[in-house]
Amino acid sequence: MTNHIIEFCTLESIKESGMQSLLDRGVESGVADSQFFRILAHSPGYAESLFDALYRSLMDGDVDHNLKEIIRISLSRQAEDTYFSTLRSKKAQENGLTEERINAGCGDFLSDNNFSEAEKWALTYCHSMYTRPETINTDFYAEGKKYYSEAQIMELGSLIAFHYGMQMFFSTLKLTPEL
Amino acid sequence: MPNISLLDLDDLEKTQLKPFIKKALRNRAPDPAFHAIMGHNPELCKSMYIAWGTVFQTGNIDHKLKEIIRVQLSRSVNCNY
Amino acid sequence: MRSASAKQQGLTEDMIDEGIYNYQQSEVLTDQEKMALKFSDLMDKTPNAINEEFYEELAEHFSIPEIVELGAFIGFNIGFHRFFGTLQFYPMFSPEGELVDQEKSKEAYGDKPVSHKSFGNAQ
Repeated sequence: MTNHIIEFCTLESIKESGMQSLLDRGVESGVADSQFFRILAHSPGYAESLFDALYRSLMDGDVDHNLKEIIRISLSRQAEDTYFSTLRSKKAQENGLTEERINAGCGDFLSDNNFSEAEKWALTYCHSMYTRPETINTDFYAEGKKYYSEAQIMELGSLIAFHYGMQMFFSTLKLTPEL
Repeated sequence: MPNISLLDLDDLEKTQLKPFIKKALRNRAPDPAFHAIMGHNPELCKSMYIAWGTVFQTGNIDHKLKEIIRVQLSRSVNCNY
Repeated sequence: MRSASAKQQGLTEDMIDEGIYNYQQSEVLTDQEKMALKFSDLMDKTPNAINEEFYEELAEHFSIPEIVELGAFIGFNIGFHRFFGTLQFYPMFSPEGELVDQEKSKEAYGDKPVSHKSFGNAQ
């Protein structure tokens, strides 16, 4: 093993595999930097398909992007992942998302009047999925349907599921993003 | 019953998910309930399905071992699917 | 749900149960398989135990591409099974391979996921 727990693929190999445009998109959006690709590219096809899912679940869809970004970061802090927790979506920053609001969403959001009831539900969904899953029950989903369509709930759930899963793996690699 | 409704497969076959659903029905695997519930967002469903297919069905690791791991993790959290 | 291709390759419910409930003491599983199951078990329950030393031990059994493959696979499944578990939905195919509604599927599979050995003539 080298300095990294898992040795990185070279940037040249990333380029030769045709992934440069995906890498550029990752960096430009703030969703991932080259390390994401340099780790996953060890297994053919993995970097491309996993980046697509990572990107789409965060950047596309109907649910407010800033809320999804708070959720993503909250999950990464739960996962104790130094990599994804440090990345920041450029789109969310351009939309005015501040570190203060991120920290509020990761903290005692239920008592915070700056979050709407809908946002509090979504943040609870994120916070409880892997810590108190027994509370994510029929009543909880019924509450969510007052604020969100089923499609939006599935959008939130897929974001939570996919990002947390990747964060769990990456948390074991002890990476921090490139500056 | 399910906390999010499962969509009708006939309706989903009118979307970009058609080839995936047809294959699932023909092979009886993977179970099409994935598409029925994820299909509320067809683009996202397709992306997640491709990601799932990549990690589950490609690579060097023995597929049987991956299936044992998959079932291990699903039982750990009482996932009935 | 069970992978049809895994079944075709000879995977049985006994092997699944062995891997889930007895992998550490198993006399049937290889050391490589035990390491993979340990990786999965740890990432699910005690991810802080997966450190550099653990990855070095993993590297005695798997190449770097295989470790990445396993890590991504395990992570994906950890994320999605928890989410899917909260949705409380069931396979559309019964153990016998017929398309059924959710009520019938729940009757067939039960409230909690169990070994399919209890399903008799399940396919």
